[in-house]
Amino acid sequence: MKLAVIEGDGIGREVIPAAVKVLDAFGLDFEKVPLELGYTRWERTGTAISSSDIETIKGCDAILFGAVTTVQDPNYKSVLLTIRKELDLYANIRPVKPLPGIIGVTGRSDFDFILVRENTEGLYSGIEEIGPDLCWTKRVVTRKGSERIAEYACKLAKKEGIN
Amino acid sequence: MLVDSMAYSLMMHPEKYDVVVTTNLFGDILSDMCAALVGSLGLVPSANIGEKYAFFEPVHGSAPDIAGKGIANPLAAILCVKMLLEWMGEQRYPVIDEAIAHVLLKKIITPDLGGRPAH
Repeated sequence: MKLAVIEGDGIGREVIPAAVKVLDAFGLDFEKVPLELGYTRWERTGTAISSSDIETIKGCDAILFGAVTTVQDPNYKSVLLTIRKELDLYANIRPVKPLPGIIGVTGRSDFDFILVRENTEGLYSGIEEIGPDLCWTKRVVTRKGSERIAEYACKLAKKEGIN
Repeated sequence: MLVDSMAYSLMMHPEKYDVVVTTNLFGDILSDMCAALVGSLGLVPSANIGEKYAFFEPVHGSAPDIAGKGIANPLAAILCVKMLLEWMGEQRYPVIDEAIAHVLLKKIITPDLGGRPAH
């Protein structure tokens, strides 16, 4: 198992080392591949993520990522969007589970579910136009995109033992 | 379910759901809203999964304003490790929940949760 470890910028450099300590405690056979990507790297070299970084990441099985600072510069290539697209990461998974002793806005702690979000199409297709009187974005929904996210969610539900 | 009533239902009856599947934009909105059920965007992990690869990241950003102060909360990143272990089929992943429960209940916590800085 090869794991790309990308701390990124800011507190990414603090929380990822802490998380890696937890991972190491399991004593598993991981080959960790550290990569420097993001704003700090961009400031130093003019590139936030290069094609050789992408190749390195594609040589791994999984990626543990901290956070990157994004700058409003047309020359700044978004690290997250690049990785998401290059690796075709179509399912965004967000577990929604209470943490002991932490109270959310509703004050309740009887929930435990997983949100599965399609991650490649819909209103984020990027097919859009801005005119003087009309702006539009094309909402893309494909059979392939819909089927694979639905299948993923159903498999997950089965794995979780939900009928 | 249509997204407007889904948003209402997730806040009123979050216990009713096990898996929720959504389109891109609506999922973006609902998932941040659901972090409020947990308590904070700073505490939740995420995974981006494809046919071949899996990518794990905390939902929070790089927070340059608090970087280097020893006050960043690592729980979301640690929960990412739990998701990674679960994805790769490592059976011991629930021990991370137990460890987190242990430190939270002992009030070993970062300032965002009311604790003191690490240094």
